[in-house]
Amino acid sequence: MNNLEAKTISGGFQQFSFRKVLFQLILIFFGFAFLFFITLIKARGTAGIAFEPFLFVYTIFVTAFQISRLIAAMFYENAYRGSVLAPRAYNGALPAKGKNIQKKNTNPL
Amino acid sequence: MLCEYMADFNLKMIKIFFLVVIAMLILAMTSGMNILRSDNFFNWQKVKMEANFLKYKRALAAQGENSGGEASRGGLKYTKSVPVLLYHGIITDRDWKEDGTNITLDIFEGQMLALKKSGYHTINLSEFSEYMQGKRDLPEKSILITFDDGRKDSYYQADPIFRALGFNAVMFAIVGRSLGEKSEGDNFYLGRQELKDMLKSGRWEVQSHGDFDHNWMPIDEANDQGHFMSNLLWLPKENRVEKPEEAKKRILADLENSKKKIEDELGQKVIAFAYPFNDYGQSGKNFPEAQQFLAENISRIYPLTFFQEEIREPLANSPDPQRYMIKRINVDSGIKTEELFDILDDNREKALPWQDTFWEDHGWRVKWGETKIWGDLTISEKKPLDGNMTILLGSSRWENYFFKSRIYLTDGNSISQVARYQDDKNYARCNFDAGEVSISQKISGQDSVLASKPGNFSGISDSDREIGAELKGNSISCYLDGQKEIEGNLDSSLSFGGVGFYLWDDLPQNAAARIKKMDVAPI
Amino acid sequence: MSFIVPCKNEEKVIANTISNCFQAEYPKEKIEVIAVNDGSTDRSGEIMKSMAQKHKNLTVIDWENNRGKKHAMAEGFRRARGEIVVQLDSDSFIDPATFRKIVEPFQNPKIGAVSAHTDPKNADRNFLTKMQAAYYFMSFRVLKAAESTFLTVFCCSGCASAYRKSIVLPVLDEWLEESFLGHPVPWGDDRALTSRILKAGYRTIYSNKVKAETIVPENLRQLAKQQIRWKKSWLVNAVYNARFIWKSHPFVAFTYFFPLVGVTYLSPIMAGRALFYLPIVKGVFPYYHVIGILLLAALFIAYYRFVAPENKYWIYFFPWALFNLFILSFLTIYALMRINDRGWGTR
Repeated sequence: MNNLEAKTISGGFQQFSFRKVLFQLILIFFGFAFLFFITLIKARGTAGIAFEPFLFVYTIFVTAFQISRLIAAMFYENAYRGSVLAPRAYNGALPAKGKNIQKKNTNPL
Repeated sequence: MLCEYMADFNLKMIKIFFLVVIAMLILAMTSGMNILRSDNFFNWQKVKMEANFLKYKRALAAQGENSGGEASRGGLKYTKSVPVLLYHGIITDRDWKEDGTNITLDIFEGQMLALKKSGYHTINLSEFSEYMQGKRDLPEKSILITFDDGRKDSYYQADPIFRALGFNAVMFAIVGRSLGEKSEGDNFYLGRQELKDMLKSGRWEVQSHGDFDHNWMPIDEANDQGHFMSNLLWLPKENRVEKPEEAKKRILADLENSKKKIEDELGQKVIAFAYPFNDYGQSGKNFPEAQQFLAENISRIYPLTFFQEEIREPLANSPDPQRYMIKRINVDSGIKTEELFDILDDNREKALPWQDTFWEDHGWRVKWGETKIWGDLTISEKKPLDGNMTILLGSSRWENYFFKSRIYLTDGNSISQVARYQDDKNYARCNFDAGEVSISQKISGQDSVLASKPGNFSGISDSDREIGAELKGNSISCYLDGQKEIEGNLDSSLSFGGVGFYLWDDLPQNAAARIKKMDVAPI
Repeated sequence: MSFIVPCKNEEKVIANTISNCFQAEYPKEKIEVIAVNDGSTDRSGEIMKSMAQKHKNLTVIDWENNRGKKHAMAEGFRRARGEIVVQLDSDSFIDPATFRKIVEPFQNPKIGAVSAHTDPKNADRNFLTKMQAAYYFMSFRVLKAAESTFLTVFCCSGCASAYRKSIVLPVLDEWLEESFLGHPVPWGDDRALTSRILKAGYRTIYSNKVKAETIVPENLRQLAKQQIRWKKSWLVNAVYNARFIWKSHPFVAFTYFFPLVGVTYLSPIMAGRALFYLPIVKGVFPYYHVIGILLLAALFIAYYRFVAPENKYWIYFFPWALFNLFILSFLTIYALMRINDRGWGTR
């Protein structure tokens, strides 16, 4: 396990690797720009998109959906570290603050 | 340690962040598309116009440059008449249905390219004006292109084409919708800045299509609507219909204001007016003096006024300093390129001597009745007592000539040759009938008989006969089988005009005649 | 920790696959391999038996008649001694060095199955395999990773995945008897098993740290048959999932699963409209639709490049996107129509 991993696991989610987050934000920004361009192209392609509300809705829906998958993919590493490697996954109930929380060994092997 | 509930916390955070981002995305896309659809027409348009211009240039180059055009036909170096084309909006929407006014981009493009290829070139308004006054000669195949209403889609679609072909045009803008308070324009009409850009490009001139003239206004208490320029309007504040004097003042004021606004705001000299709705006073509902009033006053303000002439009439304009009503051909999607060229060809002034054996249609127009060209010109009535009038386009500038034709009456007992035809309210006729030969003329719609010679011409329907009309100055003479039968004097207004045929019979069956050949020789 | 390797007529590679398992970086005595000879007509059976001489932890299950991969795996699950069972295709390999990482997530008791990252071994063969290499990478590192973010991977790939035996055993019978429209379903075992694990309330994830390799079809015909099989199994599995997913995983169901089903069946229709209706009826070439697809692909490729700059197949994702538009999207409809043809197509 390299230092970077160790740091992020033990430090909690305050210490995301900033570089990666920055890159991901830039990617999201370009995603928006691309998106605008894509919908522009698709809108121009169907002259008078007002006459085809279905195409309008479909295009937005599919584009948003596909990009949502991409964004979900960007969270993969965080989710892996946070949700999978965490020693115990709760069903959703947060424990009361500071009570009976034992330090668990996070090192798998 | 936070690690334990960090797991779920992270997942929740991720889910929330995810949803927020996707929501923003969808918002961005929907608003983006809406913005693109409506405003920002402007900046996007400039780019599109450039792209279109390059496209047309390439298309033109691909067709091969055509500077000379087809060599002048008929040996004429200068044109005897100039046609004027009228377009409205240029439509690019594929789902559009023909509406008799606008034209699709495909057809418009095709027509412009065909005009260029055929050797036509556009003229501007001052050249046209000088030509009409007889002060200037114009080369063959000159044409004036005009647009009405000042629509954005006219300019944005046509300009790249004009740029590529070296054409120019006149835009008759509705001042009330493009200048003054509405000078920003809107999604549909051009605004002041755009009109200025058009003028600057050198390819466009802007003239007047009225200020409020292009409005429908209430003309009585019941809120019936009528044209601004040809009706007495309802005055709601005074609860009455306006008086003719008030209407006249109002109309004049509007004509003058629209001219002034264009000259002030755009710096363009205004000499031309296009009648909104093609109404020069004849379509009014409650103001019968309108047409006369406009005829007497409008040329003071606008030396040239443009109206749309019926396709079946002579359509080209010949020099005439007195004439201020300029004919235009309304070109919409219904007129395909071939038909347009037929119209232009047919209306081009024909040179004398001229003859026709009727193997092709050289520009005959049926005013009423039924006519067939099939080696003969067969004219007939659609119903008994309806009559037939068929005229030859492109002959309206002929002055002195001898017009003869070989005819055969298949049904009925009479036939007439029309001569000195200017329009359907101004022409002369040599009438040949079993009982008499007569000369009649129609001046401004009023018929009168100039001379008549009764006699027994009953053989007229037995076999081929030759009829003739001689026009020399004011004198008209009618010939039957080479013999002069009668002679008369025409009204001085009929000093020139073209030829045609006329048929009417009081028989209870459809009259018909076949003209086998005709020729017109200059005198 | 047990490996299950079902095999039918893979004499060329089965030996390699089995010995590879034993090379995993894991305590040797804890590795068990169960190889199932599912009615092979070639020498696979003999090879397996001879290897059993060398490896004492190798169990060979020998069937004369072919019973199907599902049954082979089920038998393997029943006989496995390890708690964690790794399922491998007979032509897949797991990189021994990264192997340990597949066990790591099982520390978390909620995790029911882990999918390894799989790349084609024969990627460099021809243009088609390169396209598939790009597609595999995208499909694992991006699409499966996206599903993994919410801990609901819908298909732990049968090439190389690990399962928790104790939760698989209770669902085995139902899994074996899986039927659709009255007939048994011979394909999509991995999908079906993953669904049942999700239904049982466990989470399934993907691990990009575990590298595996597999062989992909090298010609168009085999590829088409494989894709048709996959699309049919997708449909059957989607119907199964739809019944429970909205109750057990509502967030994923409504933000991902149901939209995915919608998109999967709408996009062939839109593709048909763009490629047939527009040009033929309206005389318009679907520039914009195609450009839209390429732009979306470009966005994904940007991310692809970001996470794996060393992967050289990224450029082939563009042709794959077009291949998907022009051909695969229509295969989806074809698969839908031929759903009752329960054949396997030739391998």
